[in-house]
Formats: sequence, C-alpha cells, structure tokens
Amino acid sequence: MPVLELKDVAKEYRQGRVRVQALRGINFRVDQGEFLSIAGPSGSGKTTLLNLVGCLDVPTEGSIRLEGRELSQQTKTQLAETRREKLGFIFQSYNLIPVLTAFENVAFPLELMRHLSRREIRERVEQIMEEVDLVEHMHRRPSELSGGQQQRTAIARALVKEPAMVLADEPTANLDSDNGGAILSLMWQLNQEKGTTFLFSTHDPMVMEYACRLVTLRDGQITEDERRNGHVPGSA
Amino acid sequence: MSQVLLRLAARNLWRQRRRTLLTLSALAFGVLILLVMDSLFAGFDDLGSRNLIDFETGHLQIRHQDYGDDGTSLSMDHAFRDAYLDSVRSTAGVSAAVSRLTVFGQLHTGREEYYIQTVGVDPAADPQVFPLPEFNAGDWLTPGEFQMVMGGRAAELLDLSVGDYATVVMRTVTGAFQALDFQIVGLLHTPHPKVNRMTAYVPLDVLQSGLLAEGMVTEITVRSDNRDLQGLQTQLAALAADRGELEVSTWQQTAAAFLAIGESKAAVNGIFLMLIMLIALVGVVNTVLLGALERTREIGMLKAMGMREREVVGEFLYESFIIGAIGSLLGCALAVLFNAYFVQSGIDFGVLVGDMDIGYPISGVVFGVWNWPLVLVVFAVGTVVSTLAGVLPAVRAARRDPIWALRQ
Repeated sequence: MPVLELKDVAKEYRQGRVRVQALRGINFRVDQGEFLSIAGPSGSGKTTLLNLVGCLDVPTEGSIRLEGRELSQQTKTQLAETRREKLGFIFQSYNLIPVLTAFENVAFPLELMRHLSRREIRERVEQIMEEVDLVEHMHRRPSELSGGQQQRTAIARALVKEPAMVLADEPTANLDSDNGGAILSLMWQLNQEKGTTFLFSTHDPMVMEYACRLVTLRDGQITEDERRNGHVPGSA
Repeated sequence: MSQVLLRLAARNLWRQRRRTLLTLSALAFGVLILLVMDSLFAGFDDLGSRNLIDFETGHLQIRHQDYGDDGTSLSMDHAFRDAYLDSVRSTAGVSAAVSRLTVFGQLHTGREEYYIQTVGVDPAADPQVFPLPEFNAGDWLTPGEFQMVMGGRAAELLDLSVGDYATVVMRTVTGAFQALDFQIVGLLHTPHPKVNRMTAYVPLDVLQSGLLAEGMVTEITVRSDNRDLQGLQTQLAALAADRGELEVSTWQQTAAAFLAIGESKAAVNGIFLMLIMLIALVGVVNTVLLGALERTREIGMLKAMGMREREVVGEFLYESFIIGAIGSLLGCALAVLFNAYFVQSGIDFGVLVGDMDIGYPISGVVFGVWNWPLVLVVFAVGTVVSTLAGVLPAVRAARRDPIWALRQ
C-alpha cells in the first residue's frame, strides 16, 4: 500500500473575484521510504500541494489518501488528528517555539500525542537528539542555536514521533550552502537508516540532487515525474 | 497535556514580562484599593456606631414622638415628667438607664456667642450608660453645682479653659428666657465630633431647677447587653403606654440617617468590584490579543503539528488565568499587609478632616476591620473574570487558518 496517493487532485482559490487554479489533475503516489522532491518555479503550486498533503488544506476536487485513509472529506478536527499522528513538518524558517528549549521543542509533538509516559518521551527525544548530533545543545533555547542547529532541531521534532511521512517546505532556503548541505545529508541519512518517507519542496538544484524521485510542477500541473538515483553530492 | 500548555503559557507570559507585569499590577492595585476601602469603611461604621451608642443614643431611648423634628429649637415642648426611670431600670435586659434633659441655647463668654447643646445629666448615674471619655483637662460634674463639662473643640474655639465661666441662655418650661452661669470644670476629648464641637454637660438637677422643669426630662436612655433590642423595645413601650406621645426607639432607628450612609458602602464596593472587572477585562484582553498577534506564526505552526483549536484556546486561557490569579493574589496579599497595619494602628482620620462635619459621627483614629469572605470573593472574581476575559481573543487566535498564520 502506498503511503500517499493523489487522484485527480485540483485546488482552486478565489482572490477577490478572480478564480485561481493552483493545482489541476494531480496524480501520483508515494511509497514507503521514498525521498521525493517537488520542484518547480515560484507559483507552480509546490506549497499548495504540500499544504494539501500536509492536511492543512483540502482539495477542491479529487482524492488524497494517506496510508489508505481518505483526507479530502475529513473535518478540521480529524485533519488535526492526522497531522498529529501521521505527519512531521519541517519549515523553511524552522518555526521552533522560542520559549522552549531544543529538548522541549522536540518533545512537544510527543506530548501532544498523549499516550507516552514521561520516561518514554525522554528516551525518544534523547535518542533522536543523538541522531541529529544535538545532545550538547539540547537544553538551549532556539535563540541560542545557530540556523543549522535550529533546523536540525526541527528535523528531530518532525521525526521523533516516527510519522508516516515528513513534509519539508524549502528546508534549506534560510541556510548557507554548507549548512544546507549538512541538513540534506542528515535528512538523507535518516531516510536511509529509518526508512522514513520524505517529501520536500524546493527550487534549489543542489537539493534536487539528493532526491530519489523528482516531481516537477509547472502552472499547477505535473510536467515531469522522474525516478533517479538520489545521492549525497560528491559521493559515489 | 495541560501541564505542557501551562508551561507554555507561563513562559510566554514571562517572555512579555513587562506587559504581563503591567496588567498584573493594575489588577493587583484594583484589588488592593477595594479591600482597603472596604476595611476602612467598616472601621468608619464600627466607630460611628460605637460613638452614637456611647455619646448620643445608648441602645434604646424613650422620647416624645416629635422630639428631634425641631431638635434645634430652644423650647422644651417635648420634655416629659420622669415617672418611668425606676420601672425602666428594673426591666429585664436593661443594664443601666438614665434620664437626660437636652436643650439648646446660646453660650456667652462675654466676648463670643456660641450655639450649644446643653445636656443635663445625673453625674453619678450617667457614666453607666454613656462611658466617660478622655478629659483634655479638669474633671466630671458634681450634683447640685453650677458646673459645666464641655467639648474640647468648642472650648478651644471660644478660648475657654477649666475655671472659666460661661453663661447659657435657654428657655424655661414656660417659654421665658433664662440665663444660667456655669463654671467650666472639665474639657472632654471624644472621638465624636458633635460632642467635641457643640455639647456641654451640666448637672441635671441644676438645669431642671434653672429652667423651672423639676422632674422633667427629654429622654430616658437605656444601655442593654440584650441582643434582642426589638424585644426590649416592646417591653419598654408597654411601660410608657399610658403616655401615648412617648415612643421607644432603638439606636438603629434614631441613627437611621447615619446607617443609611453605611449601607451605601455596599454600592461603593460594587462599583469597585466593577472597576476591578473592567481592569481585568481590558488588561487581559489587551495582553492576550497582543500575544496572539505577535505569535501568529507560532500558532500556525502549533496547529500544523496537530494541536487542536481547543488546546490553543486552552494555552491562552492559562495565560489569562495566570495573570488573573497572580494579580488577584498579589492584590489580596498587599491588602492583607496594609490592613494588618490599619487594624493594628489605625489611620488618624482627624488629621485629614479635623472636626469637620462630614456626615459621619467620627473623628480621630479609625481602625480597619478584617473581612476575610470579601478577600476570597475578590480573589475569585479577579481570577475568574480575568480568565473569562481571555476567551474571545483566544478563540479568535485559535481559529486562524494555519496556512495563513504560517505565512505571516
């Protein structure tokens, strides 16, 4: 069963009296463990697609299934539930909670899920912090961390609940190329080790090189869906 | 979950500590003012009631039914023959009873004239009903002597001291003018401004004989330890039933005007309570609204992570609850500290108003009174209203579309 399946998805917005067709006829499926990049110029519909897949919005037409569950008919509360249980988010500008430490930020999604004990939460957070190499800094507030460290915290936060899929909206856009490369390597490594499905939007060619699959959007439609050998740039 | 929300709320408030502190302080100040005002008002009431009982009315009075209607008249139209004192004294529940003859007259010193209430008292028995206050100078009266004890403030105004003579012009029982000379033997200092400013005491027998009113009095005043004053009032009324024009009044009936002022305290408290609620509403709404505005993207992120709307509302309500609870608690704590001082040492009201007549029968030191139920009510109201004040802005913040919020 695919992790994600989109059938004839369309999304239309109204901007005043004007109707904007942000997406149309979108069909694709994502399998477990894919490292998929959605590319395309600005205004091509990348973010809209990510919002739909991320249960932040519902399509005007078509069907979206996450782990077999139809999303397009879900209520706001059900969508929130799905986001809480099934999805991890990595944002372009990190979006960590400034009043919580890195540790508390990572623990937050687990606390939202409610069914874990404090000990389990602590163990899981410590483990993921080790994996993203932030153990030394985990009791610092976001303002005391560099951009790269903040994005690594955000990655840990997205992964700690072991979601069905991690969605990343231009995850390296606010980072310099060194830090951006390090973040992508980390995501790649976690994808390889844990088999977590990653779906990220980008228009950065360096980011695209990592992807095992590159879906290109233009004017709200998929123009290319290329499967490839994703790799860490510079490696064999 | 609630622990996480509470922690988040507390830290967000700390993040904006200047704003939080301002809202907290405004609320605490309102609570403090309300509680201290209530305490002092209660102190005024207490002291005023005690002064009335100790210097004017006792617990019960038997008087002519029209007495007081023209209370400033020089006439003795409402005097009556003192045929009841012994029966009153022997009535169960009466601790002590005395007769008084009160007339108004012009006091002449040779240089000044002064309108004064002259009270004929039995020097031996009167202190059993009206406890002798502090003397500025001199001593109490001796029966049968043309002596006068007067309020210290009146003496000061007239430049009189112990040993001086004063002439009081009054009307006799037949309506003729009569001038009586008295030697001042004592000057009183009481917490009742009316006594200090316009009352002079003379021996009852001297006044009765001088005004050709042997055996006549204007009031019989009763002191009682009995809590059921209405019951005693009925018993005493039966004694004077053969004289239809006499009536028995409790001190509350005689002092109805003063007590009405005291009752307005509840209205004043109500206004202050409203004020506190207004402070809480404005302050908390402002704090939560600004917090929500500044944290729009954060709210979007929280919702993206799967936080439900009611949990976002909960986080903001914790913030308004914390402000309300700490602000009210701080206000109550400060009020308790201030009030401990007022209860212990009091506040010298005389320094503020002197012997000015402000409608309250008090001067001097007013002591605060503890009102613990009100402290609890104010704490609860402050906390609950503040928390509720956060509902609307919190719901507004929580309903924001996460996509829009994340774009901010």
